Amino acid sequence: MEKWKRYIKKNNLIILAIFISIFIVLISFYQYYRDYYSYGPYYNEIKEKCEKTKDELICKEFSTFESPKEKLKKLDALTLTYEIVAHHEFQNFPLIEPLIIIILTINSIHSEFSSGMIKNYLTRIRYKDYLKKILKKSLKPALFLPFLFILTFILSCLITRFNFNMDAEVKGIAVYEPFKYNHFLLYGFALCIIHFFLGIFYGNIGIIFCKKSKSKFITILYAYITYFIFVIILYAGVYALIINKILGIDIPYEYFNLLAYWNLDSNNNLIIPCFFSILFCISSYIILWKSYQTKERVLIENEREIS
Amino acid sequence: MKYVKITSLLFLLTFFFALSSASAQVVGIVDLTIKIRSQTSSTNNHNKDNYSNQFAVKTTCTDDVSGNEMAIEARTYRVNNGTTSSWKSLPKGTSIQLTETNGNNTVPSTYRLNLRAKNSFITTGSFYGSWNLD
Repeated sequence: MEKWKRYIKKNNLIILAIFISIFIVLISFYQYYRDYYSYGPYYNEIKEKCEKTKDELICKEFSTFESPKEKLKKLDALTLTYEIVAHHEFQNFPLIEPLIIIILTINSIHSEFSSGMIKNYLTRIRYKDYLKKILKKSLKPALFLPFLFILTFILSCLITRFNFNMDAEVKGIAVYEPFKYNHFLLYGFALCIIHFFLGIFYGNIGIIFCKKSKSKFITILYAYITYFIFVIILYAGVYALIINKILGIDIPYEYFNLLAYWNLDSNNNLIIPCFFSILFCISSYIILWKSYQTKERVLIENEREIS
Repeated sequence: MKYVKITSLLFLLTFFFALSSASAQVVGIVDLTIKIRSQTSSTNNHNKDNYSNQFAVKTTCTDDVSGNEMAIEARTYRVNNGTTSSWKSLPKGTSIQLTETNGNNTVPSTYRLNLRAKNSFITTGSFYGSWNLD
């Protein structure tokens, strides 16, 4: 019991972040149900009224409704997955995802810096090996969002009983795009790859700020604000002002909107978002390397922070 | 007297036809703000009088920062019981049927039109278009 208490105390932020994420996924499914299937009681009410009173207007209204059970039978796993990701609470993840990944990444590293233990570690291992350890820290947390995508897909499969037969009406709805339905494995894989590299990028931002503050909360705040500023500069500065207004070059704006990498809806060219996400990832590693390159500088900064 | 009778008859016929004519309600949407991060924006409530499909047209919707055309989705929302139609994309200048024929939200009731940006942006947009309820 004591062991569990210590574990929870040490990893309270991680546990909270994972709990909130899974909660958001479940809320998204509930919202989908509320939007499209919660008319069940109303349906039963007018069905009963129609059968009892045979009122023409009530029966005519009843005829416009489809039984929720019949409607659910027609729902396929892909449509449900795409609807959940694009149209409900899940769509807030582009804002929450960087925060969660930063928290997951810096949770263990930050304590090494804030406690000053880094000096002791470096007496036992080479700085180069320690640096490699730091550079790998963002890899596991970057799997977080791909994990949530897969979880959403599995839940969708279970709810629709692995129905992959698309109803004809689906072709008219907003989430439908032929590429996404005909090549869903490729699409899903590309989405996971893009968000994996973006996840590494967000995690590295967190690691860069690890040595800047003794307080974990302040470090997370600095890192998250930096992400936000980057998103604004990329879209409003680089794209809207420089590329679009000053240079007048016609490029799809989605490539410069990190929040739009979410579902790649109107952008079926998967290569360019993959390229950009890899570019951001590599750039963050270069900045991280430069920031931690000199051992003495890192130790001096650390001493300044903890004193 | 003959002329009075003919005029009265014409008046009654005109009155009768005026009462029986079907009205097509079209709501113009001017400068409706499309919220950031694909949040839903709504029109005011409007009453639908007939059993018929609902349509919407996007004349234009521009990003308030870059001036680019924004991709928009729309759906109908029935106020009294909260039923919604599916989100449909609104390409520029094309009338899109929002409801399924003889299906959900084709009944006379009070409705709102929900609009949202297809992609999540940190900037708002300005929507111009129309919504045909009947």
